[in-house]
Amino acid sequence: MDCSRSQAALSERMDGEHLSPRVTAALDQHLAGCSTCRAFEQRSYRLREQARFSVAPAVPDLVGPIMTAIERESQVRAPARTRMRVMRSMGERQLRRPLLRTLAPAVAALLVGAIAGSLLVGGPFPEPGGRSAIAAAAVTRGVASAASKLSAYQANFQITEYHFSTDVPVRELSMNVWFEAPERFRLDIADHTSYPSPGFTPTDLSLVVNGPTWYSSGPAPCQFSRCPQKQTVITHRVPFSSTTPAPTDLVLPVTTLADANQLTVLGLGTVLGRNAVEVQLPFERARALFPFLDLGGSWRPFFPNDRVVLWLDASSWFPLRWSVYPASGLERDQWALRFGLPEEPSKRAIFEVSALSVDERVPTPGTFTIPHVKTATDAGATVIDLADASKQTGFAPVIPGTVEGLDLYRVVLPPAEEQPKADETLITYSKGLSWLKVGETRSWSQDAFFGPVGFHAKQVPLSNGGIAYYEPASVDHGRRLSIHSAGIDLYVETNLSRDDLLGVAGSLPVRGIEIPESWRVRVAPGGVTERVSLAEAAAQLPFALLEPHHLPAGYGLASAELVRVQDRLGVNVYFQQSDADLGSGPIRFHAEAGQELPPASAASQSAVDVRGTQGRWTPDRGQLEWVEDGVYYSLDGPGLGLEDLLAVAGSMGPLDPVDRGGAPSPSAPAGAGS
Amino acid sequence: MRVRGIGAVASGAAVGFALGAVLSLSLQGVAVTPRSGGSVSHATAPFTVPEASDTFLAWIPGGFPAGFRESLAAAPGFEHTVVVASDNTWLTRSFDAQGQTVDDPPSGFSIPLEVGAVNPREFAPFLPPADRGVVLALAAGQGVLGESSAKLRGLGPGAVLRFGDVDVTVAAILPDELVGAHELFVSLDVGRRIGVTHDRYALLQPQGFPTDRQLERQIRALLPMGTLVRVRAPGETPFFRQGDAVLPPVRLKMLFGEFAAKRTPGQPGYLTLDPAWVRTHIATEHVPLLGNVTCNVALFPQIRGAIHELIDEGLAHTVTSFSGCYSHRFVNRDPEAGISHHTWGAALDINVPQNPSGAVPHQDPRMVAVFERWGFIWGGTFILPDGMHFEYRRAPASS
Repeated sequence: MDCSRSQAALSERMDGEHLSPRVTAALDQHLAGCSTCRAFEQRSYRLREQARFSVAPAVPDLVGPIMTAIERESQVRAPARTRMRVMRSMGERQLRRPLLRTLAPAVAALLVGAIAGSLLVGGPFPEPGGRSAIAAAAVTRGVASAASKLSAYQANFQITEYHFSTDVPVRELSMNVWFEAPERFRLDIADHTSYPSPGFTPTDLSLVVNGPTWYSSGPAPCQFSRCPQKQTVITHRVPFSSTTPAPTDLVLPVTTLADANQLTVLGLGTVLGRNAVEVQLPFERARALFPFLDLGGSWRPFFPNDRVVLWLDASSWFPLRWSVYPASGLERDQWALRFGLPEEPSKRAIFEVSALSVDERVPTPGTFTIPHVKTATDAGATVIDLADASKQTGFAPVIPGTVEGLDLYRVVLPPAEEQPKADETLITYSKGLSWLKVGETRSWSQDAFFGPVGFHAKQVPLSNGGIAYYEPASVDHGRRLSIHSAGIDLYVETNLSRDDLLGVAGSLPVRGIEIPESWRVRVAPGGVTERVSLAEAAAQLPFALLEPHHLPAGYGLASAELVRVQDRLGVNVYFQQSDADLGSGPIRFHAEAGQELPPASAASQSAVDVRGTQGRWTPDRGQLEWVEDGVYYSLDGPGLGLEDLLAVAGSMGPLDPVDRGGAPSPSAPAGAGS
Repeated sequence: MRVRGIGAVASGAAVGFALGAVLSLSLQGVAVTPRSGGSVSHATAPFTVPEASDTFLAWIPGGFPAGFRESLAAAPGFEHTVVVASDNTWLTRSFDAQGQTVDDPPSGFSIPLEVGAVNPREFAPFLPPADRGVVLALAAGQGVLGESSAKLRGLGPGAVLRFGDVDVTVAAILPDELVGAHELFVSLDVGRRIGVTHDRYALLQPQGFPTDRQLERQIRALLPMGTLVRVRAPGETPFFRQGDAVLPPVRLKMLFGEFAAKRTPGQPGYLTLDPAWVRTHIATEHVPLLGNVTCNVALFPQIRGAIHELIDEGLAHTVTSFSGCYSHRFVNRDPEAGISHHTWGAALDINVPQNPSGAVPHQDPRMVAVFERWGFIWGGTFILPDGMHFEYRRAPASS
């Protein structure tokens, strides 16, 4: 294939023409070796995006009033909440409503009508950071508030998956979910698809969590049409374990919607006859709504920036319907080609989950019975009475002064296989779906934080005058912090809000101190790393350190470290999100003296203009590099694209006074550095 | 719903509709930012121009001979070089950062783990500057997990991998491409203690802009006469490591499952696998042309797809014999080599008498094309030809 044919084929592909596999393969082979055609492809996409882009007309911001109405209605309904059942919209019985809300349908119709009218002339596109942000905060608060009130739940869903394979363009599955506080959960998935041959393994899955026991069965996670079967039983698990989790975001999306900065409220509507709020977020942040993808079997792939549109019951905040829509753009198209996916228009859903019924009845006895299996793995946690803890460990564990209304759940000695005597305690609290864990040891000997807290955690002040080291919620863990003090090390982990976590930690009768030098400074043959404040880094570096003055929503300075390797001194600065790092880790900024970019080493990288100089973009690493005034800089952040990083790079400027060690400004992030 | 209720709803909807439209129109003309899901958004995509890489790979079948490491370090024409040792090791247990057991193979069995080992000082220039701090952890005796390996095991920084009486603490996770898709990267010293002793490939940053062929000549000059050398640039191969044509073990594990195993007593080149894994992952089924085939259950659809296409295309005669798929052993039955991909049941040997390993292959190119279309790579293209060998490489082109 020559350049002329290649560029013609590219144009056809961009116009939505379906190329034969042979032409596609030849085109991709040619593109791999021809920079001229790759540049043509990128230019063409740029022009197409420019042509497609048009400024949306302004519309009145209705989200604020809508959310006010929702909140008011929720407050009215909350005490009266008993049994709710969400029905299919057509041909099924309507819900009974209290007399006090006689006018509610008319008010709801008014609001829905207003949205429809607005949409007709341009749509209610909310402004980020404006009133829509307030609406997003209301959603986040509403979901978090509902979590601790929910004691039982059961629901049926229908799942439709498109483009599983060329042989199976559509799959139909059903999903049943049961929950009973504090830690009983069951998820059953039944695959109703008619496959073209018996060679396909149906995705029939089951997960049962019953306190300390965790059971799963079904096909193993698999990338083929035929998958081996797997059955796992874990006994004596740690409460709210991250390695054997109960995916309760299906019940209430507490983790998914933890960060108001990361979701967009689109408006109100009705789903299955219920008032519902529509929110949107990228797939990578909504992954907790799709736990079955990791549980087992074979599923279609999703691009991290595919859009998830989620409808939540405006009263109970239960997820009622969520759909995945393909992202648009060159990167997504190239990704789709790798998976052999057909053209997927961005307005057509590729995956849909819809509730058929939802209610808060207590599941029937036996729902959470663990099936008998021959072999089980013992996770090793030992349940004890709190009063007996000191006998087992030699110390009386500290108790927080406040646990935000949660009840004591279980006290366990975590697995300590090779210790002559247990030297850790884990006290857990829960209410509804909310949970809190307080781990403690009196014999911590490692040069790292105790608990699931990484080295780059952010130092935060606590109300008791001490300090802690904080990390936001992630796919694997809740929000957590570690506290180091003389002779005592603690961690606190929870799915409560950041403020609640800090409140609990501040109520502990232990005053956290800064980590010792042996943790902060790590000397090894060939160099040293040292955790420092930004001001300390600036003082030691042989150049004027810049910092970004614009970060994607929700990010703030977390920590910095000086790294000296083979006489080259550089600094890594980490920016993390305040509430939840879902789908993307921290942004890392690196700077060191240098006159040129290091040798390119990835399979694919491109030259790009950065701050008026030629830099380098390495997409597989999500890394942007450039050299400016004798300093080499790099920025990387999983989940962030080139445009995001260019915006951050473009905002680089001198350190703020607070970061230089001066007086903090009211808006400055607290506790950064050290 | 009662009639009065319906009327109220209809009236409300109508009034709301009109109100929304009027208010919207009255404010049109003021731009708003398109929805961006919380990330920064721009109207136009930045303009980028693809750049070639400056780093190269060199490897030879079976690993470099003794002394090559020193010869390469002293050779002119290179800015930086590093030689990577790589071998299969045996993981006996693993713990997450909280000390909870993660891997606990059945009694008497261990989990094979491919580990790479480097001199941290020599490795540093091959890492992006922001990641170079990890060489300090390597020098301090800690390890670095590849991204796929970390995902497969569910482990991260602070985890401990146990190899008999040697514990390796995980310091960081790096992208697969930076660690040659190894499951674990350690220093040469730690590598020697857990059984990593063979120098398998070298990374090169040459001076100037030599071609692949010029580089190949430079490397060949450091090796015994007639040694086969493969030199690659990034982008020419998805896996920057030895044996770059086939999937690395970590990818095979993700696709076909991870087993525990032990060396078979009295048969040095063979392995005994955890029977529970074999029961769930390996099956024997009848396949036209081939007869009874014992393979990984996940591979049967692709095997059948290829065979049916051969029959449909009138190419059934191109398959004259089938010698097996699942075989629990080391490569070439050499206990010093890596684990054969036949152990996962992910490779087929066809027409063996006409295509002995190392000889010029004699397969019908139309048959090879069919198998390639169904996602298999043909061993006839290997640097040391293995014409009988068809191995899973990717999903079928049509799926």
